[in-house]
Amino acid sequence: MTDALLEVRDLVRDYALPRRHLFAPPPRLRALDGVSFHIAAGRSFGIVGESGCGKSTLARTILALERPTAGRVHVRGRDLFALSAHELRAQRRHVQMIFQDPYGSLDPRQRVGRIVAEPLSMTAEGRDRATRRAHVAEALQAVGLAAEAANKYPHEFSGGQRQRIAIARALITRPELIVADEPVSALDVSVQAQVLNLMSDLQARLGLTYLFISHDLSVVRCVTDEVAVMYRGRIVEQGPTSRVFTTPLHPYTQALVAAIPKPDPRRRQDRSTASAPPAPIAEADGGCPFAPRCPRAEARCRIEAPQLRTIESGHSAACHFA
Amino acid sequence: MPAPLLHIDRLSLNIPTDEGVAEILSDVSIALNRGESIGVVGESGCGKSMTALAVMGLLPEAAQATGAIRFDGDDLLQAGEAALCALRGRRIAMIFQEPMTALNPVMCIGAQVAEGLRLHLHLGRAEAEDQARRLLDRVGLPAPRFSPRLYPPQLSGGQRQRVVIAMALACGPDILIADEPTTALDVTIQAQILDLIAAVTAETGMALIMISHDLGIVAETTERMLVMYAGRIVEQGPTAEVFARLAHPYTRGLFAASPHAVAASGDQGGRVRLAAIPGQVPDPHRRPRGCVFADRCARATEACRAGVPAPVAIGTNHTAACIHPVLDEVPV
Repeated sequence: MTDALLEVRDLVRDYALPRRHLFAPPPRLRALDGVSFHIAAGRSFGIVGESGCGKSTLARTILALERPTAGRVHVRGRDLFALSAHELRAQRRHVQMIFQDPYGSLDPRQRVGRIVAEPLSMTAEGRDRATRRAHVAEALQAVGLAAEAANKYPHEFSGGQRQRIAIARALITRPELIVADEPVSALDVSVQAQVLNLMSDLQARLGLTYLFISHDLSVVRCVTDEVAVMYRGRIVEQGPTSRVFTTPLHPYTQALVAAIPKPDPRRRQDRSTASAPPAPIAEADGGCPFAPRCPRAEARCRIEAPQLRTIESGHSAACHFA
Repeated sequence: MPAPLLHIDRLSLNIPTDEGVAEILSDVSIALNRGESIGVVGESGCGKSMTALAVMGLLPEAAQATGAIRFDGDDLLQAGEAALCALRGRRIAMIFQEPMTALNPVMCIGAQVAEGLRLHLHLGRAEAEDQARRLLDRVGLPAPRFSPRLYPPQLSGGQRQRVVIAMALACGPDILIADEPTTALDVTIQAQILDLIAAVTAETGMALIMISHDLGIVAETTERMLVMYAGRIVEQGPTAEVFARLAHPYTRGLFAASPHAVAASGDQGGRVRLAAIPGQVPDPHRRPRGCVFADRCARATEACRAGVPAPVAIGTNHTAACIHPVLDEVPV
């Protein structure tokens, strides 16, 4: 694929856990287990999954904040981990990030102008004060804030406005790819909608590419073209967003979609049926990682790990029964 | 008709601060009958949690409350600390949002569940421990996998929330207040915890106050609901009725802005544009004089800013505090 802005191939990341005893080799936790996908320029790609599925490790690896154990990340055809430190620094302006918590990600002791200008410090235009100021004003205006906001401190803004500041900071280097890790999960519903709409507008206007990470399926549904569902470090289903949510193929995706509370009081009856205690989650060795929780699991699932395969055009799932 | 179990009567709450008086709650009235489940929805800062804390007698020192909170005939606002201590955990129990901060990290879970039993019901150590074991079994933490000797940091978020539920159930309270019980949890775990809360309240016949910002959770777990905005109740009624009409412009706006609602509408298309509510919740120090929602409302007129709108009947037991309620059908 030459037109892919971001290409991730067979990404594996192991973390060493504490040794059980002094001379034992440290046990490994595989946070990413052969993740591959690509995003075409100008598109928006979603990653959904529950906590601990490897979403954030994936984001950190794509930003080259973390080295993978194996696999490659290409941005515009260049292998991120083959670049020299200097080249990587220059590369960083093309990929920016929006974090989850607009309260924790903005330094409370810096003025907004300085926060927003920070990514410019590694670029040539960041050295000139007037240019820097012009860029800040432009970025703030793009996210719907007044240029005067630059002279205020983060505590003077509400949660939604702070997230706008974080988006302005991500936009200031005019990146091609923005990685948004749970950008709206700390916000209230009405404000969340404003920020999601802003992100869609900016994409249409500036031709941005998004990698949108969230545990909230409904949010991902609203802003992405394509989506991948992760479970225990693997992509278990991938396809066009509308298809994945209307006709999920993998039992895990089906469980996720069914678990979302719907604002429909008619569903209340189903709730009252007594809940079974959750099955203990045993480690699946070699088999499908979802098998211990899967209602359709058979003997084969515990032995042979299903590969991600295309079921219908563009829509693939890693399940023997899909 | 018997008097309700809990009757919050025109509760208003102000907290003086350096910037002036913050109006936290204004004229909140709620009646809860025995065994009933009631949902409270709204965004952060609308007063949901403060209402719950007022019932538990856990308001900040500086808070100035007027009105009454009648529980089984007694006014909790006038009750002394000793009377409240005898009530908390015994007759009114609460489940908090973040199970890690609700639990004591250096006390084993069995002892935390048994604490209320020993304190309120004066059970002996062995008896309380037996009872705690049964409660842990009930909430889905069976022996021998989950020993009462485990400590909270050894459990996952969902398991910790199960311990908190076991603690809340321990003394067989009349009212269970769940304040955003699943906000910190993953969706599949959230579904399990909501099922558990629904099952235990149905079994024991306790009344439930479910506080959430999520319309979906309230829709699925409650019989009656109220929508709060900026310290006031703007709409209330039977849950099915409220969702069928969405009469207050704020309720309707909240529904339209919710990605869940869009997803549930069965739209087959790809990306959806959400109907955001412009602006933000007014500062509690500077609440507008008339309708609190007027500044963000597309239907607002001069009359809305003149005075606080009185609740108008929309259907049976269903009211909306709005001069121009939305009366057309809810688009499905």
